[in-house]
Amino acid sequence: MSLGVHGVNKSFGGLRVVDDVSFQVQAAELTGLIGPNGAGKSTLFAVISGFQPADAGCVRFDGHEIQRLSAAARARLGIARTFQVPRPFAHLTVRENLLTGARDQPGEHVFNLLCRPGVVRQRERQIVARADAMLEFLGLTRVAGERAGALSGGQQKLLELGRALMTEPRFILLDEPYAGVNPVLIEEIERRIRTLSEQGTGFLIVEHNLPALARLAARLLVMDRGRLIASGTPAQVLADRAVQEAYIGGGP
Amino acid sequence: MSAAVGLNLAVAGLIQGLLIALAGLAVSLCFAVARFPNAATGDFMTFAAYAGVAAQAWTGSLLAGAASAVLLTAGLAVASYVLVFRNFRGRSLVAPLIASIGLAFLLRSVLTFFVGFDQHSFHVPIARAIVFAGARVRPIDLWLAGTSAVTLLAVLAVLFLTPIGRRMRAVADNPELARASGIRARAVMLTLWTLIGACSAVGGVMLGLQTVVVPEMGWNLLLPAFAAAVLGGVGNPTGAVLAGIALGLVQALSTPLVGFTYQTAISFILLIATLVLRPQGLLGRAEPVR
Repeated sequence: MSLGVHGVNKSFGGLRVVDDVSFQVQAAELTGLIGPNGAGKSTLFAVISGFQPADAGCVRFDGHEIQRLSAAARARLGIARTFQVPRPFAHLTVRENLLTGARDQPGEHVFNLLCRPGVVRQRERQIVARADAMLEFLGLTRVAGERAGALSGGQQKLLELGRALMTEPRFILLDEPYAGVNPVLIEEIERRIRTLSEQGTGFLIVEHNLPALARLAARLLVMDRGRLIASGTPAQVLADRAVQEAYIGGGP
Repeated sequence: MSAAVGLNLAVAGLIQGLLIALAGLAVSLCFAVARFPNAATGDFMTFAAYAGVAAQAWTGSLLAGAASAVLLTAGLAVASYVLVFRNFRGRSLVAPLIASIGLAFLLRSVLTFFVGFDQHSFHVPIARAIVFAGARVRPIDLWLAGTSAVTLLAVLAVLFLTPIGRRMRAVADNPELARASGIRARAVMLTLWTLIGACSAVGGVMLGLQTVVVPEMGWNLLLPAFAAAVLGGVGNPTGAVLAGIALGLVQALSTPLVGFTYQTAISFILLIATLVLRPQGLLGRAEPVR
């Protein structure tokens, strides 16, 4: 299974934020996407997940072109994304935030609520059990009943990761999962990502914490000013002159 | 005023309050999830009352009349979403608000074209009022209060106790994140408009049962309904219900002071005062931070 972009362009106003980017990511190969601020990484995420339409090019998932699908449809297809700055469902409880991510809820149909309450209840119990296991893993069990808006920034970050995982994704786009998270928890999340990756879930991770990402990723993609400038193993990429110049040189 | 007069006013106010709560809940649900104040809510109620009267005349049963009114009005609300409001997705609230005002006038014109301006009324068996501690209560009023209360609780139960309600609240809270969670917007919106229609319908039939069915009946209830939605905290359905009941009581109990004619002015004053002094509503639900 793979996720790929082919000749993707995206401009805002006159500025070309993503400039003819093509790559393919295999689920078996955990991949990191790095680049200086403003390189177009988050915009590319938005194009892949369906939150921004591409001006040109196509997005393929598992062999199918998906650029015409809505963001919600892509999520149901198995592409989950997290947001760089998490903004949870503030008025819902922490547990309810996780429950929104669960799919196959018979209780979202009025017919089932009225005519098959047993089915709805049974599925609801399963989902709640899964959400509670996720809360346990994220260390959020203590605040399960609180409104998500009351959580600290770091906790909201974890909740955002948990919500994405609850959608049972086949491919996950993580936008800076470590930013604002304490080092102990970073190791926990790293372990979890590794386990999921070994079980076959694909990952594309944007992260500025390069040492942490290099530990995790089998492959790195590098973007600078909208273009893909390098790709390869972390060792290869970090030794690349163009990459070093993009990060250190900065200038035109 | 004497205790008996006060009690009578309180009973009348409670029933009026439950009616305002139904309309306020319909307004608040729409504002919370679809994000615009639906000025057609009152005319959904008027439509329901006429549909109920017609269905009662046809079937001879008040219950069948009320049930038909709920089904038809839910259908009308869903149709108004599919044909009108769906097109304004992602736009500011001005466009759907203006469209809803237009829809309100359209509904009323179509109704008066077919049924004219004559008064209609439900056929209600005449029964002796029950006297309790000096307060006179008609049996029909007990039915009105009971049905309204059950409807209000049922709608809130769907919203807070079921998976579809959870998804509605998620969309209301953060539409973007709801998309990332794969929530089907269409299923949520169809359920939302069914609830709005059903809620307005029960309110309309109750209003018609209480007095008479005329073309302006729903429109006249729109101001108190908006006041309840704002007082309860914009986009907070539970708050709208509580504020609606409170508003009915305040209106009724103020009658000896300001007279019957100026009752509605109280809603207006409270609405303006809330918007100026405490825009987050009395229950203080702040809008989510962007």
